[in-house]
Amino acid sequence: MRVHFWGTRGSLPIALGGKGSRNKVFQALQKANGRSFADDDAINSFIDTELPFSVGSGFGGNSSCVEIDAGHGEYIICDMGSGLREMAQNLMAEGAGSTPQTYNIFLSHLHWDHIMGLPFFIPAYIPGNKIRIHGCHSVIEEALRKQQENPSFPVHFDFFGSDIEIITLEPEKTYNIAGVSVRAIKQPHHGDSYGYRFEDAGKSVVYSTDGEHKLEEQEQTDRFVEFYRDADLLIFDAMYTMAEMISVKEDWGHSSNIIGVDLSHLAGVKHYCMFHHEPVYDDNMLEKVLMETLRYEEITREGNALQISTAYDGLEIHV
Amino acid sequence: MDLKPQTFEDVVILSPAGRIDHNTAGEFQAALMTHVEDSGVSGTKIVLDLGGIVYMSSVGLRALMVAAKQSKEDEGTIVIAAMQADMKEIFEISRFHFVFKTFGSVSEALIEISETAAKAYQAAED
Repeated sequence: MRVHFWGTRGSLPIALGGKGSRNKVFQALQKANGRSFADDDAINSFIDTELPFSVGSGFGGNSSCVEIDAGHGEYIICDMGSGLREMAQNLMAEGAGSTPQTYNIFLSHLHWDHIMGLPFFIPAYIPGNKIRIHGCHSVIEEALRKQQENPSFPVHFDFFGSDIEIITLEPEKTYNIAGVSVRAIKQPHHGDSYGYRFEDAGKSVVYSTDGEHKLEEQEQTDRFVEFYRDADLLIFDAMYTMAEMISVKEDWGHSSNIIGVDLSHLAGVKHYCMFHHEPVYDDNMLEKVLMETLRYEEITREGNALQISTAYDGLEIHV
Repeated sequence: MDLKPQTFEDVVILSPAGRIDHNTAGEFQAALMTHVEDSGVSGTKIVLDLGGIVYMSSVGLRALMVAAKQSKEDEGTIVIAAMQADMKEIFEISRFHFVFKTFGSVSEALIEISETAAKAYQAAED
């Protein structure tokens, strides 16, 4: 399976902005230290190999949207955050608008940052396309319609030209959708959220964002350890530091970077990908958190090393 | 879990040992909270000597936070001392160094929170 991250930011999309851009240019020039470059290749090589990722590139600012390509024809998309708009633009550029397609969307929950991309999802306006919105909440259609009603948005939900179907799933039940096995799990979050485990050809990807894993109750912990068991890739809500999560931001519905490590260790996860980044964190901070998380994993490791990465808009992971 | 409590004047020193992880955090929290609740009644201050802790995972850190919150509610004092290098790193990674006052040694912690306890501890050490 190929996993493409179109949006990785939590709660609210962000933009780098002028100050952030200037800071990156400043750091790059500082690193270059007066060096001259023979040609564009030399500049690109400098950016790619000598600058930190946080300076030469960045983690992006779109809210949650992840595409899973299992190679069976139909699209699989987790959440419709602002990253969905970018995905749509890419699809159109690649010619996906010329032939009817089926898009299977799995919603973790209905908070704004996870549904705001739908009004900008061009394929939803194209007749012939099928949009299958899967989720475990009973009010999916109501929520999607509400965000496109006056005075919040000028284009009504009924204006979509595609065939849109809302499909309610039951948690803990296994479905075969778009050629892959899918199972949902209820997660602790305001109004509940749901994680999804996708399996195909012996590989597994778990999308588990917007869950506050306190690890207070053994039964609850065991439930998630089983859901994550031996996953090839775990996409996990690592929004806060541990101290934030259990003090000032307790009950805000999100987990920490090191809780993700502990759950991954317990479940035998192979690759832990930190997701749903705190919008106040800049790229330098996200890179620092990654380094710290790697170190925490090293200190607490008892078996094989866990692969850890920080999701960024545009990242592709193959499992 | 035996926290090997040692009392010097108005301070109790608790010295857990080993790994505080998924398997041991429950026992650690239960033992720690007994002392925190006692200190809430007696006014005794707590020095948590982490010198014997190899590492502490997130569940152990949660236990510390529960203790810190209770202590704050009781207007008590709980400080951390003598962490090994890995534990210091875990505290920084988790930002727990912003939650607790930390000291390089038990002596330094005692000097900060209770002069009489520091003297008693020093006398016992001598």
